[in-house]
Amino acid sequence: MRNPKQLILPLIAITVYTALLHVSIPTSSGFLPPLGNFLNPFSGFWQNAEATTVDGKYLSGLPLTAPVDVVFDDRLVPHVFARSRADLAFAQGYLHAYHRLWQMDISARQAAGRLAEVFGERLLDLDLNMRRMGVPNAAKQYAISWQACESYPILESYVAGVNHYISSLQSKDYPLEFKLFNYSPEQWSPTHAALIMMSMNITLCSRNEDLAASATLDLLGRTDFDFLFPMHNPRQSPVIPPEVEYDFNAEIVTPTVEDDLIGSLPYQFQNLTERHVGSNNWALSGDRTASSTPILCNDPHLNLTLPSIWYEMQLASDKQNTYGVTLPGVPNILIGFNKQIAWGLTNVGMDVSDLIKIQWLDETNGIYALQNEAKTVRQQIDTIFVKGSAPVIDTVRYTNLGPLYIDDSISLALRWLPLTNATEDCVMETFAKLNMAVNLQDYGDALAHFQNPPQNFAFAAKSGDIALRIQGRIPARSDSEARFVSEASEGSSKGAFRFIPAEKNPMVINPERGFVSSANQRSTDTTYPYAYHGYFDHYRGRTLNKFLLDVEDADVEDMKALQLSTFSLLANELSPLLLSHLDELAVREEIWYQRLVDWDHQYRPESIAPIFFNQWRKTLVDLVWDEIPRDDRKEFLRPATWRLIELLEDDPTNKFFDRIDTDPTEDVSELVQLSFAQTKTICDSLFREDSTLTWASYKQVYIKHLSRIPAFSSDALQVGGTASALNSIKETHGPSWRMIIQLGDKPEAWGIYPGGQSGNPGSPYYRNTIDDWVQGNYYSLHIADSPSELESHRLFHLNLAP
Amino acid sequence: MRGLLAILVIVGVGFVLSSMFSWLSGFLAVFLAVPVFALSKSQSIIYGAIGMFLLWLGYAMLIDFQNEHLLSNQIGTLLGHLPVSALLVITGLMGSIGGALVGWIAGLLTGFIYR
Repeated sequence: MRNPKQLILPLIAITVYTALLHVSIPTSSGFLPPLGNFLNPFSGFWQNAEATTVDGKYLSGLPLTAPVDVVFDDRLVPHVFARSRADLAFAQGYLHAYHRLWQMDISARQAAGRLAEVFGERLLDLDLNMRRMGVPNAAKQYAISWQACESYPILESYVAGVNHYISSLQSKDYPLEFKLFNYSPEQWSPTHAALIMMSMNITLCSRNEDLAASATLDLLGRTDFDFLFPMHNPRQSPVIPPEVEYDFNAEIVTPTVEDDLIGSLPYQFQNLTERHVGSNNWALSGDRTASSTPILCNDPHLNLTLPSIWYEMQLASDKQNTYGVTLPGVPNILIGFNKQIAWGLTNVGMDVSDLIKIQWLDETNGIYALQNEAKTVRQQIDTIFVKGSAPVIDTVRYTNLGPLYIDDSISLALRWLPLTNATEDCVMETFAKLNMAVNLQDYGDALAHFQNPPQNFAFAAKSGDIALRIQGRIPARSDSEARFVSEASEGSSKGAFRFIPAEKNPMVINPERGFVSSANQRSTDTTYPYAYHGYFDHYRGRTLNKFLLDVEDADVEDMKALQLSTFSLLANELSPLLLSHLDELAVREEIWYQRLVDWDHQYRPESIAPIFFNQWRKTLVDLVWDEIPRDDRKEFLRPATWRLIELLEDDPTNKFFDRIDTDPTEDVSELVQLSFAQTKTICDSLFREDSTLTWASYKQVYIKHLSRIPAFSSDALQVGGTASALNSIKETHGPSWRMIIQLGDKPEAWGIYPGGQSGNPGSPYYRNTIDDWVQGNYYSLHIADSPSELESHRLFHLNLAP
Repeated sequence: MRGLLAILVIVGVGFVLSSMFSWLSGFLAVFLAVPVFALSKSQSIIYGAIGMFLLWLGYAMLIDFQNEHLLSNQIGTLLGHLPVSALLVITGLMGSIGGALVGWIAGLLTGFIYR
């Protein structure tokens, strides 16, 4: 080369090439990863393609007091044997990070309102909503309050385990999603663990329908509202059996708020969860089982995701030997069993969130009235980093009631249980103690630390005890205060939550009927002295209790059948009722009519009748409740199906059965017939497009990857079930863990969750359990005394050494 | 024969460097091979491209084989329903473009230094 200028062109070319390899390219649906980083086989995605055979590993130099033995069984479930609880927690943190680091990161980021950092502007609104709800701040407060808890050292060891794994990573070892979205994991902390717990609170107790209820009250007036939305369903079969008596009166006087109710407001609450998620748990005493030993069952229903929300483990140390499912990001087993006891959770569904209008006392909206005092609002200014865009400066203002969720010409504060409890909480204590519990007394001691989200804790012990306690802080407030937006006006006594005294929480121990159960239905009957409001299920609890009352000598197969039951009591009550209003002579040749007549009200995957029934119900509901508009800008409530059934049976000439846009006065039969005809047209059209349509293919259940990437998600699953069946599988939700424990001399256990132990899409254990879950199969769960007991199930060994 | 040896050196040294250091350092193997085998400018480009193509493609194929195509199928779907073979070829081509560019510069620099 005679002229160095000849180098200019290739240098430019290689610079452009290098830049292309390293830069994320924005597209309409997000960002393409840097191609070089992503495609090269030495550190890109290929490194996440795990070999299908695995060798054992030995890691030394870890901050442990003694070696920890981890045996991965043939489903990649780690059985961890440590000498101390601190070492056990370290190993758990290490293993959570090892298999689920990206899931932990993104779940914490979501709660922290930091998704836009990774995904760009399209998720900024979600981040802003999370901050308006006060979630990131509450997580920081929880992390501080946990420092005073007895089990805090366990959390510290857990966090150290996570961080030890993160620190050991080179960029080539990062989980696939970090490479795809081009960012790095950050160090874990107690605040991250608190964000994970806040994430569960968002899922289980963040629902707020106050604005919709106020709008509906404004639309209908008090009389019609109370008529259509009664607090109690007389057919309800509550969690606590009616024979339980309450020998106390309500000690907390709830302020009347009728004068403070605010009418319809032009705002919406962005609910992040469905009204009914659906979970079941029950425990049978030995008197009711074929084996004469207690059986405990639990299937918590949650958002079905990949990676799965749960991570299965056995945790054994000098103080415990526990098996169950864990939540990546926090220590301990959350649902499980040991050799003496078993426990399971369902959501209570309590309404623990209020929107309260603030009355400003000054022109700048900086001073507000609260319980006859003038208070000053405080503001928090945060910088939100947005991938591909300039940072956003966001201000959230806080009152003593909570953050201002709406801060516009009208200001609405969010009074929400998890925010109230953040400064004084030891939730980790509950699970640390439950993991070690051996009897009913230990169960009670453990639960005393649990505040939110309120849960139905079912319990069974080898000794024969069974129990169920509605555990959590339950706000004591009047129906109106709980249901509607009201104002914290001058002179009003409304302030922070007051709670039902913890010792008055509903509970049942060893009931005469020989079982305890819950399925998100109302906690008590009307004899319970305190008022409470919630989003309760009305059918699964009745189905479950009826079965458990009838069953004799129940065995494990009965329990499996119950968890997998696709029978809908709602359909069983509503379908014959609707059919009775049809003119049989006119419709008896109609194939849809025949299908419904022949239907056993099971939502099997291959069923066809449920397609028509569900569409018919929807069409009828739209016709009956035409007084209540569907409006994108303003949300209204619609009466529950149980109330519609009640009116169909008892009050068929009620004014609501008359359509408001027609002159003649319609009755129930006319609406039922009209809706049948409309549904027939819809369903005929559906089946012309696809004559092979079944309930499963109509419903379209997917298990989606947390980032919604279809390639990492499941295909449409051939599953049955419906919201009102015990197997309450919906489009995005379902039984996230099915567990059955028989507490004999040695516990026998079965369980399954959809997904796999690994969070890596490139692992054979990423989605390996989905097919079995779809088919209703269970795996035996092995709780071993020593690693050698697991020899026949061993996939590989991991030794962690100091 | 000289060309074949040059390619083998690029693949072998490139593998060691990429595995031990960053993936970009693998391209230094081309810088090494060009003066050692006294490659011309055009040979530098061609052998650089072939060597890095084989290195990236071969290593990706090895990983993919051990993984039984589990991940490559999903990434192929993610990138517009590409078959695994196409994904492997694209991976190889990404390496080969870099190899060719580095070979180009290495060829020019070698000429600059030795002539």
